[in-house]
Amino acid sequence: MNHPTPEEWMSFAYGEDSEQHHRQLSVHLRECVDCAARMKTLRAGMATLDEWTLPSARAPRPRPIFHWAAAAALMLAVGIGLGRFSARDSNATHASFQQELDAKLEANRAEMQQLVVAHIQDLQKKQNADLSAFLVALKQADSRREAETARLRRDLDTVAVFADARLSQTQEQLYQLAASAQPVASTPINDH
Amino acid sequence: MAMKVFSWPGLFSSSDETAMCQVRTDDDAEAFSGLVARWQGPIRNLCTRMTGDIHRGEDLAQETFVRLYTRRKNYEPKARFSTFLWRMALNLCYDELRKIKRRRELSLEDPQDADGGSVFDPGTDEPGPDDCLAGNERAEAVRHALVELEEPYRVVVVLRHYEGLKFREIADVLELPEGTVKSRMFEAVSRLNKTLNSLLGDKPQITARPREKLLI
Repeated sequence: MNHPTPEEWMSFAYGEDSEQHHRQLSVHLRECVDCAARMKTLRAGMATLDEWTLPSARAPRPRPIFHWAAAAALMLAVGIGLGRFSARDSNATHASFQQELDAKLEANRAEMQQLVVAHIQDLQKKQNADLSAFLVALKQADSRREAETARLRRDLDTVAVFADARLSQTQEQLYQLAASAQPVASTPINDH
Repeated sequence: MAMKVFSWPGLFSSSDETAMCQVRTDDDAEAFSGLVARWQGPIRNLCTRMTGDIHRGEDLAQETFVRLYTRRKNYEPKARFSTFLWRMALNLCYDELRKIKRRRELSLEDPQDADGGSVFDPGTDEPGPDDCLAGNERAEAVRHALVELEEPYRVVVVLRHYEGLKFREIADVLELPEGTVKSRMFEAVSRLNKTLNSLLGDKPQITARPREKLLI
C-alpha cells in the first residue's frame, strides 16, 4: 500500500473515514515506521490543542431572595435542633416538638417552593421584556435607516434638479455671450 | 401540472431551521430567544478562539445575533441554519481581525519581535486581560500559537477541533472543496506543532484528557 495522503490521515484522525479504510490505515500505521512517526507528531499536536480550554458561560449571580430563604431555613434548623436537645428527656415534649418540626419544615418547604416558582417566573418575564425591548430597538433602527435613505434620495433628487437648472442657465448664458461676441461681417473690398 | 403536496426540506427541517423561518416571517421573539440560547455558547467560543480574546469573543457573539436579527430576511428557508450562522459569525471575526491588524500597523508602540509576530512571554509578571483564558503556560502557548496561525488555517482548526464540525460541514461553511479543508487542517496542525515546540522548547506533552472524536 502506498503512503496515505494528508487528507486521508486527517479523516482517519477524526474518525470520518469508512470502517474499512480505517482498518487499512491502522494496518499501514503498524507496518510503516515513517507514517507512524508522522502520526505520533500529529496526534501530539492535536492533544496539545485541548490544553486551551475556555470557561463555560458565566452563571447568573444568586438572587438575594435565596440568601434570605437559606438564612431563614438555617435559623429554623438551629432552633429546632436546640429545642430537640433541651427536651429529649420528655417523650411527650419530644412528640410535640416532632409535630411542630414537621409542620414547620412543611411550611418552609412550601414557602421555598413558592419563592423558587416566583423567581423563575420573574426571570422569564425579565428575559421576555429584554428581548421585546431589543426587538423594538432593532425595528426602530430599521425604520430610522429607511427614513434616512428616503431623505437622502430626496436630497439627491433636489440636487439633481438644481444642477440641471443651473446647467441650462449656464448654457443659455454661453449662447448669449457667443452671440454678442460674434465679429461683424467684413464688407467686401472693391478693388476698383 | 403536479400539485406540490409537501417539500422535503420542510418535512425534515430541524428545530433551528423552523425557528429561523418563524423569526424571518413573523419576527417571532420566542423563536429568536430559543436560537440565541442554543447557539450563544458555540458562537462565543468560535469568536474567542478566532480572536484569542474572550471579551472580544463575547462582543462578537452578541454582534452576531444582532446581525442575525437585522438580516433575518436574507435567510433562505432551504439553507442550513448552522451554516448561515457560522458564516455570519466568521465574517464578523474577519472584520474584527482586519481592524486589529490595521490598528497594529498604525500603532507606534508595536509590540512585535523581529519576525513580525507578537512577543510571547509566558513568564511575565504582569497578567494580561486574556490570562483568565490561559490557566497555565501551555494553554497560553496554544492560544498564542493559534492566534499567530494564518486565518485560513486557524478557522479550519477552530471549526474542526474545537467546535466539532465534520470536514464536509466546514467545506460548506467556507465554500471550499472537502479535500482542501483536510489538507489545510493537516498543514495547520504541523505548523502549530512547530510554533509550540519553539515556544515551549520541548515536544508537546499529551496531558489533556483524550477527546471522544480523537480516534487514533
